[in-house]
Amino acid sequence: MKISTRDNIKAFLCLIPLILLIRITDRIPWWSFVIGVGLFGAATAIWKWKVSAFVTGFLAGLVVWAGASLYFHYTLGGHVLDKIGVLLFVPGPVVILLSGIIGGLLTGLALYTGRTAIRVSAH
Amino acid sequence: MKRINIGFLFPLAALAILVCALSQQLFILPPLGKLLDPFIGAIQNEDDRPLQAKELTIPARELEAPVQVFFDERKVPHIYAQHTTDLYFAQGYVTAFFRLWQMDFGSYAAAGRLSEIFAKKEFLDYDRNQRRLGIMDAAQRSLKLIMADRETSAALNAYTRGVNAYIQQLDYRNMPLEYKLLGYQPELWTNLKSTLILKSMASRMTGYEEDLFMSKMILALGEERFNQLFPEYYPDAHPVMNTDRPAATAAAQYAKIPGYLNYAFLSANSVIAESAWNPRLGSNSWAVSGKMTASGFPILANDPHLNLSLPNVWMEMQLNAPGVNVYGVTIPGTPAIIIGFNENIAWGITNGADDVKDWYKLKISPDYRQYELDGKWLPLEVRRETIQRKGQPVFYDTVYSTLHGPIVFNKSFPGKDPDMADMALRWELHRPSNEFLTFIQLNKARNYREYKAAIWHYHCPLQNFTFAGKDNNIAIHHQGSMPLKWPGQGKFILDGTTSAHLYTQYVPADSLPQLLNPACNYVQSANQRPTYSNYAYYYNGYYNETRASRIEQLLSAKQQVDVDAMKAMQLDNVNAFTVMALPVLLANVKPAALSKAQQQTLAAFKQWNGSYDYDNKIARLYNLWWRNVKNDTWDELRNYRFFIKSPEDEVLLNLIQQDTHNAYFDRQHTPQREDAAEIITNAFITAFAENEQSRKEGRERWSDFHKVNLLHLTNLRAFSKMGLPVAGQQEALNAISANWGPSWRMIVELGDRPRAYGIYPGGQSGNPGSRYYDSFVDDWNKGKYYTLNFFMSLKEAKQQASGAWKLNNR
Repeated sequence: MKISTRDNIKAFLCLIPLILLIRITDRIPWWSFVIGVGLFGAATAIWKWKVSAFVTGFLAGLVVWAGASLYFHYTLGGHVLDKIGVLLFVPGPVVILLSGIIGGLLTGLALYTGRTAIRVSAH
Repeated sequence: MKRINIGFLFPLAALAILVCALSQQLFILPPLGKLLDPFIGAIQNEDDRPLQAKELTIPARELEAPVQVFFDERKVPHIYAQHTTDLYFAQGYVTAFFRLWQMDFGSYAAAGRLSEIFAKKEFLDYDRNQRRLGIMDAAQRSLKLIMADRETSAALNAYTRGVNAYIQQLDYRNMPLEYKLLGYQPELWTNLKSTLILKSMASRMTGYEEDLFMSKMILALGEERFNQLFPEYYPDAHPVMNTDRPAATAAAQYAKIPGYLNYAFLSANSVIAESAWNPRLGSNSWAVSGKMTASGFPILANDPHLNLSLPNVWMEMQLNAPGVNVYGVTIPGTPAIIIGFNENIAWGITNGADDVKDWYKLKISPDYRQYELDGKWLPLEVRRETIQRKGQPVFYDTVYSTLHGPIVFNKSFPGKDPDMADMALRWELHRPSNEFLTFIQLNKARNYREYKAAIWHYHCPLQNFTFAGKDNNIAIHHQGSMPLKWPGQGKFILDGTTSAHLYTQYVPADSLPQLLNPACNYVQSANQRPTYSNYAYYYNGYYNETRASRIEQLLSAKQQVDVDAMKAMQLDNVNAFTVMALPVLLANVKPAALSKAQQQTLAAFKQWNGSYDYDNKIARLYNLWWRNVKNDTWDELRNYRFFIKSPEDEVLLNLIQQDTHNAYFDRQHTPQREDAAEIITNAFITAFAENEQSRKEGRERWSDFHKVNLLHLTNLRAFSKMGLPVAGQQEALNAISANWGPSWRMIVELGDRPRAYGIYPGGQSGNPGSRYYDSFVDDWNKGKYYTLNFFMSLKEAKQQASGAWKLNNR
């Protein structure tokens, strides 16, 4: 399958509000957004979007998690990042990157899983 | 055509494993996925918006009427309720908002439940020790007494409901950070937890002991030398009750080797575990009558010295309801204000430092079912402790007890010292008591009579209560259950086979050491002995005279004082003992044995006033010098395997002055016989060399060496403030040492409206992510005070508050 940059961008742009929408819903398990992303991954297969599932998912997850961490840190103005950094033996800003990587890995893997679940034949 | 591809199961499995791994603790790593999730994780703990809101309505249940909580700039809550139960409900709610994890963790630690949170084996040992000490048992028995009192039970029930109202509103996002890190959740608060916090404080105040050490010391040294080195009283003491000074002291309190105490009774030559508590660290409190203040109104000052931690042990607040309007500090987890003031009175507390923890050597049958008492064999009581452990099977511990109390150490739990095995512990903390009532009543007391009635309920630990009333009464009480003992009883290990060693009576309340409006116009306590040696009853303890002596020096030298003078006293860095010892050292040192540089340094000492100021360049050298003098003098004692502490500094100074050729000055392992002058000279030369080394490394000021650590309760460095350079010294009034010091400085001048100042090393919030977590620390270290906003009316509170909450029934 030839990857389409346009489909990748489309998927990326859909994923960001999708993750945000699910994550801002309280009282559901923290990881539940992977289900939504997985279903979206299956949908991209059905829609025959030519996407690089893991990479696109990873980037979307990274942007949402790291971006949200950055946003909350600056709007809330507290001091927790540096302290968590000391706990994890990394500088404070790296904690934001770590958060992004976790979001990226989960989103990438979820999108890839969903995408792989559906096989669409040529006929 | 669409088909399900089985191949997706592999990434699905990988995803599931990843989610599981990120949801729980892995080795030392916290649950990273949840923790770093920006929507619910650690970053959300930076959220201080509820504290910054101008107005916030919080739905609550069970209130009789709405409660208003006003916050000032420092986020001190001022709670205004229309009913007393609502007041304590709101206190519980607000305290939980600020400090839930701290109070919950404190209750786990007191109950011996840390294994439920931490998997390491040392926590199992801690829990077993805590349970064997009988803290939980004592709390349960006290709670029965507490619940039988209508006023206390109503307050405690309301407080508990308030804490639980907060807990029930929590979700993962706004849960305290420590729960997220350690991977557990808060459980509902109970009255028992509050009682455990109180017992934990009593344990901290009375947990120190040296009965076995003293028993071995008196056997090793003999009566005469023991009394010379470890006297009960000092001639220059300034006790809490400083009237009726006797002509002679020491002879009246000569400790004799009790008849039962011999090497067969104790098995000698074992190593005694060192205690973390340092009895030389304590608290200061004094009250000055209006007759010697500039304003004409009395002033009360108090700075309790405790383990300095983050979050701080105290939390500031004002409580207002019909019949009560009080400001001060509370211990999170307990209702009411513990140290503080209202419109009419102010009170302070220091530790009484009496020995109320005694050990009885038992004779136990070989099958460990009976023990001997007065020639009869009585059955041992047995209870089974169930210790839940994180990720491991439940641990069951069997604890035996006698009439005296629990057997803490035995074959199955030997502790660090085999000689403590099979001894029963008798501890005042075990007796049921209701200290909550003291504070509930103190909060609303209007005069000396009501203050005295309130402290009458206080039993354990023995504390010095300092009092000042708007009507110009000042008073001090050494208050608590003080057992009636025969001389020496409890100083040494007691014989558990005879009931004659069990005390059953207590010093009558009216005979406890106390003073009301003394002629000197001030009262003071700083963990010194409560009386002179002519007191009618025997007692012993772990007292310290140095700070009391300094307070006496300063107050007796003044004709008139004001609030600024009180601040200067609390921040005074002078060690009164150093002031006494330095001229003696200088008089004894042999200049001929010193180099020119050493002589010049010595000359600088003549200009020093014994003040451990931040930039002082000579204080550290003196400390090294005195340490060396002590080590070289008491080297004989250090040879005892059970050695844990040298005689008091006053004893050594007296020896230098009175008996310079005493055999203790002769250093072991040297062929010649030294005297005090040689010891002092050699000690100076060694100290000088050590100090020079540091000076070359660029460390010379006192603050380069004197640093304080504010450790988070989990010891996590990330949540602590480590290595803060500070002025002061452990025996100065500004008694700061590595992790102990003034945990709350308070000065109150009563009058038409109280003027009060205070500060503690911490911040109102217990949340490490909050900007209010350690917001007072720098100012505390600089010796600043905050004006305490005591609102006299609801109108004032409304006008001056920077934010407000309204607790409303849903």
